[in-house]
Amino acid sequence: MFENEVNESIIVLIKNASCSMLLVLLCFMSLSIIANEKLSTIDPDREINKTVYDEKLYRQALYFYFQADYTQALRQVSINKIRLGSLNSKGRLFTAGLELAVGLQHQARNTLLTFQNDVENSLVFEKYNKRTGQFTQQNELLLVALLQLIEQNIQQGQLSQAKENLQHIEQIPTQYYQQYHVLSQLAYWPESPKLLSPFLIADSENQNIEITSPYIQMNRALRYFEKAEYDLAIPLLLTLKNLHWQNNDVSFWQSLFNRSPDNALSIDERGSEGVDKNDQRIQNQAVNDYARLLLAQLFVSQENYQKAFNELESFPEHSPYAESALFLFAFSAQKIKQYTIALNLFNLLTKEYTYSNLAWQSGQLLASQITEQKSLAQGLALYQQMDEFYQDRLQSLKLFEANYNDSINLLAFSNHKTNKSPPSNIMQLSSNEQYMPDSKWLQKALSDVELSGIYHELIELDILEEHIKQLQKKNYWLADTISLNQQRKSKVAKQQAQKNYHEELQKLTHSRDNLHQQLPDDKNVKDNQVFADKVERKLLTRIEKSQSIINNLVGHKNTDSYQTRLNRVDGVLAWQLNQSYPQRRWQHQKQLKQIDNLLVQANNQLVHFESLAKSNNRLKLLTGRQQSAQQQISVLLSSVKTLRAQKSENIRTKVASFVMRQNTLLKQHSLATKKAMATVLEKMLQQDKRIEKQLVPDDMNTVRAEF
Amino acid sequence: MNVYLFSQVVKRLCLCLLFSCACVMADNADLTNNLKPNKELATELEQLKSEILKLNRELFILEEDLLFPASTQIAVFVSVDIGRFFTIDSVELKINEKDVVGFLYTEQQRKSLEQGGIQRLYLGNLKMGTHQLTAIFTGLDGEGRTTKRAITHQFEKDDETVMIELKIEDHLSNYRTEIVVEEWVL
Repeated sequence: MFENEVNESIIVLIKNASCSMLLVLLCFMSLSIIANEKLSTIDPDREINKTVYDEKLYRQALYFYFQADYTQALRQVSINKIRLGSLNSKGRLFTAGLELAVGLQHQARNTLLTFQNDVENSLVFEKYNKRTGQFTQQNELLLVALLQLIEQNIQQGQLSQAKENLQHIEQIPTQYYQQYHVLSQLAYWPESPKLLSPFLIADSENQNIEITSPYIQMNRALRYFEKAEYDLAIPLLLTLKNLHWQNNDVSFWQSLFNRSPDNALSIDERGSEGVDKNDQRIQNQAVNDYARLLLAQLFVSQENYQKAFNELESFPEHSPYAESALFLFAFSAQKIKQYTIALNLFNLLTKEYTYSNLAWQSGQLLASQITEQKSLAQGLALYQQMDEFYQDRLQSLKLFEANYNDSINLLAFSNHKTNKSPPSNIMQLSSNEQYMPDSKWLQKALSDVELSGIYHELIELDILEEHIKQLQKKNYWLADTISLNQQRKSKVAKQQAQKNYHEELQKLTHSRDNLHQQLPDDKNVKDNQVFADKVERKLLTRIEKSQSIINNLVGHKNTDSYQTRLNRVDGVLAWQLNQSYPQRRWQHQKQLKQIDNLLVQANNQLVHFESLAKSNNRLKLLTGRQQSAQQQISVLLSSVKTLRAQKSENIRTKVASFVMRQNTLLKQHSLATKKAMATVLEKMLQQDKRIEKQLVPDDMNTVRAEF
Repeated sequence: MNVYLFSQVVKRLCLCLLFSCACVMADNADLTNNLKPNKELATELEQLKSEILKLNRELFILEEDLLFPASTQIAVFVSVDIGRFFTIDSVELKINEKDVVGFLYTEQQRKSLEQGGIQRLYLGNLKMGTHQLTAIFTGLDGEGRTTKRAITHQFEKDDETVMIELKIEDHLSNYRTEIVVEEWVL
């Protein structure tokens, strides 16, 4: 169980880490690819002032990506595609990475294959290849993407898909060889895969990659073991069990691979290696422990129990392989007649791992040992105890089966709440969460990768349902907004109907024409009084009045002096008006132009407004889109429900199969125990007879018979 | 990757090779019978995800089309170049002297900007004509002191979308950060 828990937690960690690596890799590595493309395609003179819009859109998607919001990043990429018509190589690779991150493997695979075709067909790439003669960055990028895809295929038990994707790999640089090797072994096991030879990338940061990494060596040891070539396996395992290595030769890109959405910011704190020290320690310990366990098993296979015993004597207590090692250690101890140790260990196994097959096996071995070593009665008692234990397990299994069959929601078997739930504003499409049930039986059943995978899909379906519901809310809100818009529009249209804007506009145009008429057509004709201001007009009026008075006084009085003075004032004013005339004329013309512009704008607005008021097209179109979305939501909700029901059915079938197997196994153990009990009873009977025979002499028997 | 793969190797191979005497190997035959339907269901799940993503995108565009038609749309973006001399903490945006948006950055959002992301800070509507945009950025300078950087920019709104990027750029010459405005020309 412990091993399973550790493995499951490791799987979660890895799932988190692996998707993000590819994406980061895509983000950074592809910058150079596009730079090359741009250099070759863009005319710098022509495009100098134009914004590189695709780059801006791409960086908007990056903003979401770096916050581990893959759904929004993918949506942004999708919008970019609509706006740009098509995505460039970088965009396609980034999309593939995001698709992988949200579990859209099929789409990601298609995107990658398209990119692969681009790489093969593109002149830019070919030139680059020929010039450098190296494994190009885009090829490396593609390789990383493919390896990531294959890893996901294997995680989900899609081995044929993994094999198919492995065939797309044509070259393998040394720093990716370990991953490639192990993935190939996993995809093809138990067959031997045809592996490509690794090669060094000339400008790689990591020139000293040791292709015989611990994982590859372990794999070799397992293969030797399988072929019973123990002499070859033993030296490898002996090296591995004490091996300590550092992952300091991980490339920059590989170090980014280790980033997970949950700790996306911790990379800076980790140092240049990008590998968590704790993770490194766990990996070291796991390899050492497993090598030791395998070595012990190898010795057991050779019936060299003493060596197996010695090997496991100092096996770490908290290793994920502790249960298996404990059993093997007890078994070896029994074989080399270390009965006390064996007894204690078997006892420990049965108590600590009550749901473990090994523990069930141990019970019988323990009883058998007690029978042999101590007494038949004690052995019988232990057999009885074990039988009761099996019955108890059977009862527990039956109870679990009943509860399981009665349950409606198959995810109700866990009270475990993840602490790393995303913010509510993030609409997810996938989850890295693994189902952690409280039931020990279900935990055991979930050690089956396929069942665990379906459970994970069930979790994802719930997430999708939540996502759709949020979209539904948004769609309702959009419907309300459209409806409000319609109301507002009709209200405005009503107001417009009440007022004759055309007439108003005509009046304004007429006033403008009047003003225009006041402006002398000829520049030279200086009707300087036209632009006189208020004060000047008052003065002009006064001059006029004064002139009239002077005219009236002519003949009655000498008005020469008055006339002279008035002429002087009139002359000064005329001079002032003449001076300011050009400026005023220009201002007047300018104002007229402004009025013209405003009138044109008002007219345009009126026409635009009328056309908007008359046509309901825009809102109709939006309503149509909103209604279509509503239909889609209904269909999707129904699909999620159907799919969930089907998945649940599959899970039920698998769990039923698991229960049946466990039931059979427990019954077999129980039957074997009963048989052993019968044998012990028979032995006891024989022993009793023998004792009885010893107690009663033969002649007494003869006498009894005669009597 | 390695730990996972290793555990996978262990799971598979250990089950095959170890403890054959324990007879604990589960019979996988019945499981493989159901493999095909599960595969089909997995494909359906993928299709469903894809459909949901498409719907999500459509609703997003619908929302934009409804609320911010291109003829009145203005979008303001923020980007950071390196961010060595200025650690962005918050931004306030004013258009025509009116506050339109304020944003307080989390560590992750700041890092996202520093790693090359562009944030759409504001999306709104404006009438055609001349407008003024003012952005006030608050953050920490290279020595950890709270500092402000502001910029004012006049722009013309016609019947096309206006997209303005506020770029926080480091200047090595004077070890200062400046806000540069870029109007996207399409």
